[in-house]
Amino acid sequence: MKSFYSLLLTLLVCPFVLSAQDTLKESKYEMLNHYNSYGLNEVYENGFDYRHQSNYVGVNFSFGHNSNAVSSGLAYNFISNGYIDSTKKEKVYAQLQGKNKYEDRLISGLTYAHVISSKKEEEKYLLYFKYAYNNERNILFTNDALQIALSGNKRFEDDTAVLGKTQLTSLAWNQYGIGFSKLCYKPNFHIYWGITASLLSSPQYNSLKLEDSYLYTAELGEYLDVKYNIDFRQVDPGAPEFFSFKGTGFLADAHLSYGKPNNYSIRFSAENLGFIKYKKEVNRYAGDSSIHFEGIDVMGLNSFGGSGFSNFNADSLFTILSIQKSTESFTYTLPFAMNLSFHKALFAQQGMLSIGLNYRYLPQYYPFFWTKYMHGFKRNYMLGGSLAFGGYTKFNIGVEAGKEWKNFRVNVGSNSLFGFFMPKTYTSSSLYVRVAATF
Amino acid sequence: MRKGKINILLGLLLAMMIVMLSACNKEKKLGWEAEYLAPLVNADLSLTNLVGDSILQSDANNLLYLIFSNQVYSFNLADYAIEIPDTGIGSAASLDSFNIGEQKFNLTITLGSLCKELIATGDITNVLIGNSIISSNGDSMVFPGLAGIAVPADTFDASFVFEEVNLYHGVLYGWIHNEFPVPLENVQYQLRNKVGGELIVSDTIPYIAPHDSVYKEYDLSGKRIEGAFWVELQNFDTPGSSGQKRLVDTSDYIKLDMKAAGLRASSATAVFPSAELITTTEEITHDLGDTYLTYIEAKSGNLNIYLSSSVAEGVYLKYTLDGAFDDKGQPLTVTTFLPPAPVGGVSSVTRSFDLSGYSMTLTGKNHDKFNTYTQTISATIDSSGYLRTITSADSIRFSYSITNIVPRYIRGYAGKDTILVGPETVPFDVLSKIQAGSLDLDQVNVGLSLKNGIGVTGEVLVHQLSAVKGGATRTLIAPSVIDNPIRVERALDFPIRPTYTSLALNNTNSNIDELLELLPDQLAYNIEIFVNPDGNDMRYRDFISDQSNLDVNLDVEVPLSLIANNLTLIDTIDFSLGGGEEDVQAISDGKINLIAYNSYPLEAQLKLIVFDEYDNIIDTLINNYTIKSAHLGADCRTTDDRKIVQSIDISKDRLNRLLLGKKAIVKASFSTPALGSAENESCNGHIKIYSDYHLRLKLTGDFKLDFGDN
Repeated sequence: MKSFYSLLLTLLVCPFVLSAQDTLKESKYEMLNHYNSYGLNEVYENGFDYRHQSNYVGVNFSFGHNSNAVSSGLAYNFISNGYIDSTKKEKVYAQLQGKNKYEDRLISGLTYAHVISSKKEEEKYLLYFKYAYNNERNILFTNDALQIALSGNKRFEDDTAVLGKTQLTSLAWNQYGIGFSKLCYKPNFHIYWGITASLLSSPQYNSLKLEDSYLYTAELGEYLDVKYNIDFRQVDPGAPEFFSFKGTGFLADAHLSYGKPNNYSIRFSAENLGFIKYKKEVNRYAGDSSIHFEGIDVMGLNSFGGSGFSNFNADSLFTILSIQKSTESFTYTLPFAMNLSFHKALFAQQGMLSIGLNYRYLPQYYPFFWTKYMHGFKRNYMLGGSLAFGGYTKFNIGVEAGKEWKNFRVNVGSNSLFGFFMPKTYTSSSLYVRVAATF
Repeated sequence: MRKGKINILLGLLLAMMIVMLSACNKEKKLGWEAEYLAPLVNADLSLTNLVGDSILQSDANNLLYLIFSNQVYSFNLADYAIEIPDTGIGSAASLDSFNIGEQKFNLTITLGSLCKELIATGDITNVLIGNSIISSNGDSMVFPGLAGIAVPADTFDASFVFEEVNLYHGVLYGWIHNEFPVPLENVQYQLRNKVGGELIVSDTIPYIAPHDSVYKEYDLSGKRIEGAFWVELQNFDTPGSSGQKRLVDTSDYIKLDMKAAGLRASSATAVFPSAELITTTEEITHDLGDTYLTYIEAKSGNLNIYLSSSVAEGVYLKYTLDGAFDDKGQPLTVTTFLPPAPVGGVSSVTRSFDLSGYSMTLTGKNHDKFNTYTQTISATIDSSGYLRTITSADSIRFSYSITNIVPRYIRGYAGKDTILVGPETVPFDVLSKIQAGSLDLDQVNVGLSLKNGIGVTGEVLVHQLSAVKGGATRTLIAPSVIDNPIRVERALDFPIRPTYTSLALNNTNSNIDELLELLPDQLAYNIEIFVNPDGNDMRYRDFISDQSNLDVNLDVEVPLSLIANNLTLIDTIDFSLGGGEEDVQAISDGKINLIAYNSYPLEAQLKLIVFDEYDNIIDTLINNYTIKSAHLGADCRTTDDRKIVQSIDISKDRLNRLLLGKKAIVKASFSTPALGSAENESCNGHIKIYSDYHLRLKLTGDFKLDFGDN
């Protein structure tokens, strides 16, 4: 993690160190016309004018989490090996909504694009190659399920904990993509469109579904009444091999942008249209039953001493709960995303206002509305902010800063800034860093 | 100035992000603490769990009875009576005579050939007669008289069968046929060895009528006969046809037809036919003292046979233990082959035969003996088709032994004997786990039972029976039993059915209750057993099986109506919490709840001490926890369960210590509630224990678990 912070610091500080050597552009439209979409295609939404460039290289990193109940502090505790003390837990419990949602997503990758000239001066073609690492989690849970997970069942002594409906999906995949775009630079309008096809390798997948499940804990734990409908799938319970093909899949992205030069643009994209098929190494644990458990039955005094803790391992638990274990293949459909946005130049092309609608195919995910304004300054600095509402979270405020040189650009920003300032109470945060160059 | 402000603003923003990210990672410990309540162990205990299974029964009123049987002594007469010593016998059979089969030969002289012999003599008379007969063939003529007719000797060669034989015994059977039309007189013939020239047979027959024959027998005993010998018709006369015409047929003949049979040789060089050399039946008798057996079934044992032969021909040997059969009814027969002995040497073979499962009659070949095996051995020569020489100096030796016989069943007369048993002690396990305290039993019924599975009548004399606990001893006082002979009838056979003899002991005719209230862990006894006190009254029909015993038991029936005072049960049990620290490392603190539901009218004090593998005490997990008695109602039965909860603190250190535990000693003291106590307001005296009482114990865990990299 220290090396990551060092790299981040370098990337952030470099623009300001180098800023004195640069010149101010007259129109900021091209510079500001970048990264404003949520479902961006960095190859041609980066502000570079491919009529004058032949190659593009970009590196990006983004992480964000959104929840209607889980604070950023708790989320970062999980992410950064933190310790969740009882104060934090009680704070989280106080914020729970009944139907609680949480998702996070980490993407980091590298893209190279090459410009292929056509006979027509106003048309360019791009052939690009992409690698990205994706890691995402999506969780729906009841108040009691989180309390059972973080505090145990003692707080439910002589009480019933409602566990279902609870869902969890956690997976990671590597994306190896190849894309093609056509760029039309007409005097009165520009049209960009492109498609990307990717091969996916997934080293890790876990999912849990609990439906109509509850746990009653009798006084002093004298017995447990458990009603459950569980379906748990797990790929590679050990440490995953980063580039392993436990699951193999395909993914397609499509992008379309139309705009009037130095005035406005409309963009649409469809992302993550694909699936991952896991081989027969998916362990599945499923059961739908109810039990009344009073402990391991022993026949006499001699059996008491052998009833140790080692008896309560996973296998014996499965036996007690009558959970069937099987191994099977499994296909996971990736949660696709649809994005639509409008971008308008303001203040004599010194500013850019964007509004957009984003939707991700996640359980109980609400459409995500956003608006963003970016303003260019002297020496090609840029600074802006965003407002958003939807998804799993509440109202979000974002900020972005950047610097452009002739063939090099760095942007750092966040779509949800409150989580950094109020980690104990606010429930979303994000951070992205993008570095791009053309030559 | 403006550029500087923007730089400052961006710099602040970035610095803030870095600080926040760094702050997120200050605590390196991923994890959280959770508290869990869970049932661990659930046990529904009854007195069965405490005193052992299958010894508790209840009556129609659900009153529990302690019913068990403790063996005082088990007498197996087989240990005394069925000891079969190893036995063996060796024998040799010399070949003073042996069969070499029979031989046949003949000499035929036709009338035509005889006439040619007459013509060949050149004597004018013989020539005329010879020609006259030949020319009259088919017609009739008057035969003249002739005298001194001799026929040249003929050689018979049987050397392909035998080269030379010295006969121990033999008979030559001869038929002299006269098919001539005239009588023969003074017929002389002889047999003579061709090389040595010794005369074998010589005889003269005075008269043989036409178309008649004469039968003769000649003893060949002591004769030496070569494989080639002469047969000679030395002379015969004929008186002719006495002037009467007879039909002339030159194919008419005189024939000497000989058969040598019953040939037993003392030595021979021959191609021996397959023939029996030796057959012998022998008996061997065990000396079993006063025991006379007529029949035995072997659980195990071996028949060992050693055979040797100097005979230069292969010999088949067949051994039969007469009257011995396996469980499928097959006789015990062993056949083996001895290869031909080398020149000047012997051939031998050793065989061992498993007698397991065989039944054997021990009455001898005439069924008038005891302890006697009968066996038959026969030796048969194997014809090889080659000339061999066998002499009377050749012999076949055999020896056999019957060893390691362990009978499964015997029949006969077991003898008359007196067996002293004791003074000895036997464990009395039922109450042995009760280490201290006192017990007052309302009633005790004990049967001193004798179960006889032996087919022998006996008498048992109990001189002493005592209960022993540590240094304390209580001796049975019961005039009906002690030093009073107890007659034990023999068991019945086919199938074996034991007989039972029982003597009742109770509070009124003995002090048996005092013996049990001592809570003994041993019984001491001194017993005398008389076997067949009336002698052989069953006429050799005693039987003894290795599975049938004379068992002396104490059959105890105690209604559980009692007064217990700190009746202390101590038992050692295995103890293990699990594999190791990794199994419980997440547990940081907690406690175990012991929840008891007691419906017994017994108050229990529990103690559980845990030991490591070196028998060092590492923890007293339960230290004198009291499980109160249930409340006795007006009918002196308990009404509801009494719930008692005790908690045992389990710190992480204590848990790690308990992980070392390998065994534990459980000490439980039971007392019936005293009259006037809160649990017993009106029940005086003995308290009855019913089968629907129970003690339900539950262990629940109340643990604090620390998840993560702690």
